Amino acid sequence: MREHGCRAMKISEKLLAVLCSATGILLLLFLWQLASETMSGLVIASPEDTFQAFGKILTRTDFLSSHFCISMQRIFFGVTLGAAAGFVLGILAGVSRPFRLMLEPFRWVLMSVPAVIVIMVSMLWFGMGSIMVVFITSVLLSPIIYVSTIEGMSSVDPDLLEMAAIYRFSLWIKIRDIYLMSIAAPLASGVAIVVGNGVRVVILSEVLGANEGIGYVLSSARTNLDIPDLYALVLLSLLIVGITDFFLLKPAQRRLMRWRVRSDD
Amino acid sequence: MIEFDRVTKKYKDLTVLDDVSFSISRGEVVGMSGQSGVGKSTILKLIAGILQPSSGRVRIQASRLGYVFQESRLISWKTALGNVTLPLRARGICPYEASATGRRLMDWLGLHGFEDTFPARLSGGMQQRVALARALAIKPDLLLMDEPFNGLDPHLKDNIFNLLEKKIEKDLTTVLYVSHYLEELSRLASRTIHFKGGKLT
Ligand SMILES: Nc1ncnc2c1ncn2[C@@H]1O[C@H](COP(=O)(O)OP(=O)(O)O)[C@@H](O)[C@H]1O
Ligand SMILES: [Mg+2]
Repeated sequence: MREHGCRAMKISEKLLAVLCSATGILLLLFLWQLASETMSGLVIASPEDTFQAFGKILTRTDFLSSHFCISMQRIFFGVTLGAAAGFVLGILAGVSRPFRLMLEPFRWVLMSVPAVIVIMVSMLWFGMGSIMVVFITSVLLSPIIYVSTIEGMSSVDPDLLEMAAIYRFSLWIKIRDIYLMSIAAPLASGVAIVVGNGVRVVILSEVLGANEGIGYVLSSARTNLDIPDLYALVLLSLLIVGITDFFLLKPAQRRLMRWRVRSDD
Repeated sequence: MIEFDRVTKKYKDLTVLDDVSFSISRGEVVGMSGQSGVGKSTILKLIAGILQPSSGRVRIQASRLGYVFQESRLISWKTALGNVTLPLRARGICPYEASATGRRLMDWLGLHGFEDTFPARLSGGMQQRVALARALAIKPDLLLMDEPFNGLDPHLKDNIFNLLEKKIEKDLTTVLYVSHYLEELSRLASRTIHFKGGKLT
């Protein structure tokens, strides 16, 4: 009986959450519509035009098979390489203080320098194309993962390490059962940020210097003043971030954080 | 089993143990009392070998050490059973055997049905019993307990003591039990050490 009541409350809570989000989306669409009506269509495409253009772009023969595909590959490799580099360096820096101090200036430079400068320099080094885009993406993203890995390493509970020492846990058990999960929480939020930024950086570098990819299509839409196309591509990049977050990152995070009391499963 | 020979322990300028000597023989159950901050935990850590004396010698003969901390010190992302079996796994015992031992101990401590529960969803008393099960899982020949059941309700405490008493007697475990409740100490221990101002009395 009581359990039933609990479940019913959980469902109504979830329903409320969905309703709130839906209201937000409707409000956004409404304001968008309003803005497109008051401004000329040359500046803001209406939602309707945007959705039409969206459908058209997706059915264009070359788009999905080439531009979309190439951008997705660049995002994947850029994010993976950047995250892997940040993670490995973060572990090492977490273990060795001298190493961390040595890396600090590099981290600071990478996190402070405007992205556009990194893009321009890499275009000089690598020319236009995938290597340039992947390089920029991983270089700009690695510090984020690096920082959250270090944060995780330093948040390892010393009491747990003491317990591990008393029970003679091997280094392997300590890493697997204590360190990795202590890193997982900050790392998970780092990864979410990195995926979102990955899409942004890839598209930005494609706009500035590539002859393929979503960013390239975006930049030609701008040149041709094809406003609905422009908006449709923005919508597409939003969807990429949203879909990976909702179907990949959130479930992984939920699974990883099962042990927390307030994880509503 | 345990021998402290003129042990002094300093943390920087703070002398916590001042020329302390005592010994505990195999199979003895000893209680230790003393006000908080006097250095009881320090003694246990010296015995466990995670602290080294500033001078003097600590000699320990124990191959399997069980330790119950003041806080439960469970790994939050491992289930209750996962926590109990980890010391066994660390000693190379196969998962099947480890989990059988763990389940048996949890049943015995009244934790049946909570094997797959994460610590955060257990009450404080249950968490401490899980920690006790973890300490007993390796069949310790030396069991150190650092004010393990503070703040538990008296009825539950009584229960745990009954179980523990039998177990200790059966396995001939050497026990050093720290608490500032004297009645608790006299219940379990055959001898109590009182600790004051860096000295034993
Ligand atoms: N790692 C440490 N560094 C410095 N001082 C410590 C440390 N651990 C304990 N102390 C100090 O040593 C004294 C004894 O601590 P402890 O052994 O924990 O006492 P008890 O367990 O009897 O309460 C306390 O004053 C405490 O502040
Ligand atoms: Mg203490």
